[in-house]
Amino acid sequence: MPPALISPSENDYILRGVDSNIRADGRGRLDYRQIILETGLITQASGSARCRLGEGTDVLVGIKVELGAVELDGADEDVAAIKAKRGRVVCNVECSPIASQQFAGRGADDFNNELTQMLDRVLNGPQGGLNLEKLCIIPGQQCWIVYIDAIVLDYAGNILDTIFMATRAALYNTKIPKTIIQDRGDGEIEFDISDDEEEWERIEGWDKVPVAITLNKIGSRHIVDATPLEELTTEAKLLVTVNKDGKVCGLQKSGGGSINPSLLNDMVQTGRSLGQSLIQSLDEMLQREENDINLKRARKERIEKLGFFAAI
Amino acid sequence: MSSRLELIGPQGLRTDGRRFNELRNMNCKPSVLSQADGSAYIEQGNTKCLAAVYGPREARTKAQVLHNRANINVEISLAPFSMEERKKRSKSDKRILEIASAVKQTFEPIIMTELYARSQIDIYLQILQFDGGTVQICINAATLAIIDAGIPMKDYVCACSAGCIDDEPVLDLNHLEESNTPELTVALLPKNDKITLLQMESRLHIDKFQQVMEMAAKGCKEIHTVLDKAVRENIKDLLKKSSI
Amino acid sequence: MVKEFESSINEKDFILQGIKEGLRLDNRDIYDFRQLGITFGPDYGRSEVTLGNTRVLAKVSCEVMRPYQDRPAEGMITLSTEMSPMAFPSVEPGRPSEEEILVSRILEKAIKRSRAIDTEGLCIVANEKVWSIRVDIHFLDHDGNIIDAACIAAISALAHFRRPDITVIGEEVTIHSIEQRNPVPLSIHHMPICVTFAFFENGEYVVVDPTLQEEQIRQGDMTMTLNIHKEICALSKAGGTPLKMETIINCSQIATTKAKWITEQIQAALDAEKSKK
Repeated sequence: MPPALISPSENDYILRGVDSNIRADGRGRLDYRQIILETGLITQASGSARCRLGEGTDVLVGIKVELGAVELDGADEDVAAIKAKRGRVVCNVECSPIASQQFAGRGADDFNNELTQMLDRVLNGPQGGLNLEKLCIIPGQQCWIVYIDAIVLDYAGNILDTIFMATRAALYNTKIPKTIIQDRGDGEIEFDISDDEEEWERIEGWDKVPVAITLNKIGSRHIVDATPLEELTTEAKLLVTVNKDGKVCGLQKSGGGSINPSLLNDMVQTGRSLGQSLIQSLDEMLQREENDINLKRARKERIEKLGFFAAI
Repeated sequence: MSSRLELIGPQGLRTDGRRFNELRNMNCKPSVLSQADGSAYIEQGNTKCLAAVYGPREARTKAQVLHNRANINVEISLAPFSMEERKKRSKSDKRILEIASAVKQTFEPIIMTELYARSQIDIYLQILQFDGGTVQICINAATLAIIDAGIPMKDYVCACSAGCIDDEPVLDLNHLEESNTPELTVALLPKNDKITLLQMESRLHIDKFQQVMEMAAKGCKEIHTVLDKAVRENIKDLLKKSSI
Repeated sequence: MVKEFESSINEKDFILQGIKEGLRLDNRDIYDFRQLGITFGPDYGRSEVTLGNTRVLAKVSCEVMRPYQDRPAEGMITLSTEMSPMAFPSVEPGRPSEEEILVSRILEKAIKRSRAIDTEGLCIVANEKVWSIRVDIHFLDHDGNIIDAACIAAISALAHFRRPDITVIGEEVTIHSIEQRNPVPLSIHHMPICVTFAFFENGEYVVVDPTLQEEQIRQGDMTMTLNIHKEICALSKAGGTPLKMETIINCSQIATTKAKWITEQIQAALDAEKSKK
């Protein structure tokens, strides 16, 4: 499939608009589209969430928590010792051909790998936020493996930010089953999984997972939450991952253009403040949803998940 | 494999509380995606499927161009978290390819491909949650999405499954029932009651065959009512929005 | 890649007109199968089937392997149906074409899913050793209806096959060679037989066992797999011209008779082979 094209007049239009702080859909440079967040859509998954930006980008994340063996090999003995006491997180991003014409057949493979790598690097990195030690059941043997599968269902620009938002919300929705460990003596340890769903705990550290803010440099200004046409006009992209405490957890520059060091600093600061306010509004949304559900449960009303039926 | 379960309880209710001739709870909505020419989302019980249709547009490879009709291409993907056990299925899994091929062949005579020579119509299906009835939900979702894309078809294609528990025909099997009883999937054209797809994988005695097929055909007609209603409501919404 | 050789429009019209009048090119009745010939090879488990001009060869072999984790006490059956350019000049070797996927799925459903072979009898030591039976199907010549021919070949080969006898004493397993002890046949629950129908003129005309030329002009097809106990083991009608329910019921009746006839043929061939030895 040939890459999407943009005409010189469209390019010029977007450039000038960004300069005057008016984008094609009327937003300002640092405005996000309307975010719709919903959790618990997939009943067979341990946790799930769907994030939709405006009428465009849609990402569904499903998390499955399964038993597995601890990772035994590491770079050296120390690393291996640490890994033996932790659970694991396995990430996978898939761009469904539904999302865009470019993703049919093999077209999405490279892009999928790229996105998977980025998600993996953040979640498995030191600032990942998740408490992996708590996921270990029997050190050196059994642990919980958290499989995070993200599917991109609709593509209208700014995929990475949406993936992170949805992943964070899905982790909020994920509950780890409680294990009862019995020591049988002579080194043999057995464990039982409690069937009572009320005892399951929310995965720890979900709130420390960072979000990603992609800043696109167009002309001499930068914008967030680009639409596909704006992405084609971008010369350079900067990805800033920020966590709840305002700490910058990762930076990545991509794209062929160059960024002036002073502009770079500006962009990082913008990313940081935007990230923090984004996390705040996301957490509020999640809290509101949870309150709604609890209210409905108390009133014994049916809890309906809108999923795709949410009015656009 | 679990030991023989009771699929029909003492009061004649199945594991999910339905009677033998009841369809699962069905919800559908067309036009849910922004990029696709036509899209639809369907929920049948706990099975959820999203369909997107792109086309008719220029064919991607010269080899696929047909001089007198449009080429139909179907791709199905199963989300890794859709089943009980997390499993990443490759796109060339034979079972999935077979279902895709069945969907493609079902729609080939129904879509009016002679109107779009040398072009390609792509149907993409994504299964988000799986609880039995893959083929039928794929066909129903594809029908809605194709209608939404405005591609002319001779009739709706409605699919439904039926099986036989304890020698009684039952309608619309979920995953638990499908692994333990013979299942017949039927796709029907409601206008003239003709059958376009018939698939069965387990043993069923020929004497029961006609009853089960008739039950599935009835189910297809019920599904047709649901799909038709969804399409008409969607058009009403579109008209309301555009008459500002 | 060579494109498939298509008959001319005249030839297609001729064949279609003949079918409308109930006549076929080789003077068969519309519900008749072609001449069926089953020969068994010099070694056990090798059978060659000729259905008119269509030729299919099936070879069965066995090996001791570890069972699947979720089925520790069951043996395994693998079917391999690779279409070589020998019978299909338009097929690229190595890349499964759509037709191949359909054929292999129908055969798998017929033989594996319908549990024709007793897999629990293939267990040697649960969780450790089981027999893994492999059926290789080779298409030698394609003149229509390869599915039915392949199914007959596979079933007759499995019925003809003998696996080495084994003795299990505690955890020790001894596999006796053919010279030491007589090999043991597989235990077959039932024989699934595929019967393929081709439809013309919007489902008004039906033909059983289509030749290659008839397959090229057909508008729809259906394969029914039945056994002699009147059970439908698998059904596959994927798209093609829509059919009325009466047509399908009618076809199922015809298929029952044909399945019986074919099973008798296979049995006769097996008996003849046994008396030869």
